[in-house]
Amino acid sequence: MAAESLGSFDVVIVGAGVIGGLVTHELAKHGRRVLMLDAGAPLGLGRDGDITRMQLVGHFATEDNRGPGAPYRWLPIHGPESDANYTHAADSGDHFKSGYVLGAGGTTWHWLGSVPRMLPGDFAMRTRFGVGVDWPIGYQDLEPWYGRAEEALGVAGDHAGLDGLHGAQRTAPFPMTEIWPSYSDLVVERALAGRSFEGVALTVLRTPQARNSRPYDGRPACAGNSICVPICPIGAKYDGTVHVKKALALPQPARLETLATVTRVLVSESGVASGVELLLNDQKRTAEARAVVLAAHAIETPRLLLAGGLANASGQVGRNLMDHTNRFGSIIAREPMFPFRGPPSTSGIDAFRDGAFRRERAAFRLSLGNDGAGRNAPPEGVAMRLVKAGLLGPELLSSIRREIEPLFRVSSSTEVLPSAANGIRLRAGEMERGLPPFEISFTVDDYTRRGYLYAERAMGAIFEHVGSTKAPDFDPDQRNFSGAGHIMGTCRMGNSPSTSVVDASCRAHEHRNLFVAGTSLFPTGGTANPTLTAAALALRLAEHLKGLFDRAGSTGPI
Amino acid sequence: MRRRRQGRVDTRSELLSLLTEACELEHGLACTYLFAAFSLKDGAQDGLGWEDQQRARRWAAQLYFVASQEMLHLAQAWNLLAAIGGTPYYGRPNFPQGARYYPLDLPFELRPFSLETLDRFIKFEAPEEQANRLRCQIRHGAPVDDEEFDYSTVGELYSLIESGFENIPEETLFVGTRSAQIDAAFVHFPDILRVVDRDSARKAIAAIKAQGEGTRQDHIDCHFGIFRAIRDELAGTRLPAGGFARACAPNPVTRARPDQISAPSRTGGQAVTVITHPSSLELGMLFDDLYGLMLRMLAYVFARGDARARWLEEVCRVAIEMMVMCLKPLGEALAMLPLERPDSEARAGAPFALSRVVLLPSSPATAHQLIVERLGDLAAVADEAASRVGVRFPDVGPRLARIGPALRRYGRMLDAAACP
Repeated sequence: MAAESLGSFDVVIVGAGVIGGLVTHELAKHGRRVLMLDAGAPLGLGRDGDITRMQLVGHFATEDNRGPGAPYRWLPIHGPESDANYTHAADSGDHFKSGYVLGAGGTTWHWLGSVPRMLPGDFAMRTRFGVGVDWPIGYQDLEPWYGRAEEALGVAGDHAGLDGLHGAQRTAPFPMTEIWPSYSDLVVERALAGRSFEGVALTVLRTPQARNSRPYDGRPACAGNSICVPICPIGAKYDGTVHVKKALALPQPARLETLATVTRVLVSESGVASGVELLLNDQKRTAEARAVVLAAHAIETPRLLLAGGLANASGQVGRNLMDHTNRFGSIIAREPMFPFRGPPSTSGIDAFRDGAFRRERAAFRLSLGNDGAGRNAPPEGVAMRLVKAGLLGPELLSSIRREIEPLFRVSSSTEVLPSAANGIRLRAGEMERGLPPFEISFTVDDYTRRGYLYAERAMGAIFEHVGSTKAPDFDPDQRNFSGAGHIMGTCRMGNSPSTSVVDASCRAHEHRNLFVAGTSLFPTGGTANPTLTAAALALRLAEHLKGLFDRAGSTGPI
Repeated sequence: MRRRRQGRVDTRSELLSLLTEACELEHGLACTYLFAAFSLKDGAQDGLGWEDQQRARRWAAQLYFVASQEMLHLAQAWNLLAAIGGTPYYGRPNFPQGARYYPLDLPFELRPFSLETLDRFIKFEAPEEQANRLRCQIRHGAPVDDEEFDYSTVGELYSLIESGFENIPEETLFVGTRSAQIDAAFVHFPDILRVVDRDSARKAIAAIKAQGEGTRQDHIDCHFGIFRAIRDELAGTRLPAGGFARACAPNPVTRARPDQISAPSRTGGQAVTVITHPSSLELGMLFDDLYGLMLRMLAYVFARGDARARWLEEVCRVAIEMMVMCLKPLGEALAMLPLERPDSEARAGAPFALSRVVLLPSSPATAHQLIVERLGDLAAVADEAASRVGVRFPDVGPRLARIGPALRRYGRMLDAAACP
């Protein structure tokens, strides 16, 4: 018996996260009939029966393990949280440590919200530095879309301070002035004034953030709850539900189906996509469409393409998986730093993000923490240690304060170059929600390690200037790193069908009406948190699709 | 008496007077919003369930945000004043003031969070086109006692001010020292604007109005929209036992002046409520002293902006930090402490009393000495209060314990900044 159809649409968007939400909203606003499908639950959309933000916050509050997945772990479908949730291939030199969230709003539920732009050099790594690959587009091509993305997400930032950073000109101001720097930012800024490390000025810049510094777009200003990761309890931080909700509230709203896992993109013999097949509440369904957009992040998107054997003449689908490697250093400062007032990080040092050194070692960005020792010593760990030592009541409280108040951390977020050996591959095994299981191979090369070890020395210099009561705390295992949650690559864009999956307009080289959106497009990862770039690309794709639809007439594939 | 045309300001004197009035209003609004935020319960010890606790904290955070923007508006009004030859003014009449004190036709009172309180806040910040057009007129005090102006919302007041900047010739109006204008590079108000000409004055006023009442396109992302959203949510929420707010006394004072009606048991009218519980009284007086010092420091910075010394920057930083590190925890503690007897439900509250406007001496060395001396004195008072009150009322102890050390740290910071 044929699977029941959900209907016929102009576009089916796979994934209801920030990228799927943006593309859906733009197209639906333009009068297109859009179906959005997400494998996860209906989170925080404000409709009857949806899981509320308050429920998620409540689950976080009662979890012992307060990692990024804490509010979502209880959901029947929630996505992998860390390397423990992946199967790693035998040839994987390291573990891949970044997870993602399945569900409306996607991984932006637990992102930090930092949204620096990529730099001109990031788009031309091969040309400028002889490593990695070039993008088919440059910073200037994306610049107007960066501005629109900052407007859409609601970014608070210091326009003057960031204009021209490593050649990245800005043509539009941020929609909001920057989030107030944390107390420790000001202490550090003062300590580093006029200081440099190996000739590079240690200039502190405000980190642009998709977090309201004032009421914006119907959402409140940040109240400094300091639990952006794993969830903003008040919605001051942007997340993907913003545009999903907007798309559902239009006069001609988009349609959203959650707990709907797309298992196959339906493609004709001539390579034209005609819709998707999906499991909706465990029932097989289809949806017909004139175009299909895959916006299921950088693991589920290639998984779906690999499952269908699509768009892979280049053999690049699933390859070139990237992240940023994070390393933390922390100190007990000589004076109180009063962490946890405001977001976990509001400033950083961008001086090491570009330069001729990229021929030899990876670039990195340094984040100044406002979260004590960060992952080196989470506050709940400090509290538990003191409890186990027998402290209770006011004595416990004052001891926690005494221990945590002077803690300060810096973290490096270091570039990882694309490598064909790094990626996801399908493997044999039981199907998962109608999709084949996969394994990951991920090995961090010496280029990146040289970068993060250099970063560690820069951090050491910073700590020396700030002043500490004892030696800084660094992870002694130099091979160790944390995931940044910046999953990139796996369906890279490029001019050549033989070396890339999609072209510069995000269209699959082999399928004229199949598009990819999101960070899986990235040929290289630079040092910027990737969401803003993905959002800019998504808005650019939406504009492109509008034009294709307008030119294509009222029926048939575009 | 000379009657002026309504809605039009023509002279510097009128403009100075209205800007001064705007300073009073912005300052007073910040206090009323803070008082309501302090009164909100915040935890299980208040008998709130999980969801109600989240709500109350969210509302409090938004009230604090609006209050912080009112402080920004006060600072912005000081820049507007300085641009045309005025000086920063932090005075205001003490609470309460009757509905006819300002043309707003709304009483200026400190009252805890409630639907009625929110209704008053909404009226303060109402968009001009929605404003209640009931007018009352006010005669301003010397030296401009021959002028009359009408406005029924804060936004309308700024429209009047804007008319002054439009009507008075630009080349004669802007006589202030340009370098004295305080900007975001100097003070941690990222949205503050320098005012040096008509265009920048327009932008500053537009920003204040947009943040308060919103724009014609958007009445949501502004104080008016925030209050309305909170009100809607409160009205649609089942009240927990005892409500969301503590029973803070209206217009609490540490002592009643002879012209004030002292009526501890009254809840209506414009009467003050005298705090009589010794612990609350002690903290109330400390609150007022710190509040006054903070204002004097901030006003000093804006009066001396052209100095641009690191020390001055530090004075500004300390003043702003005092709001968060000292006044906020003290205000919250006062809302938790008894008004009279520990066994009664009535709670005290932050008095926000200004005894008098006393500017710091212009000499930085003298000002420095006075500030550091006062910080030290108040640190000692705070320590003593923390140990005494904290023992008796353990719930407020943690809030008080940090104040004395913070004040001493401020003194050290100012000393280290090398006063010019």
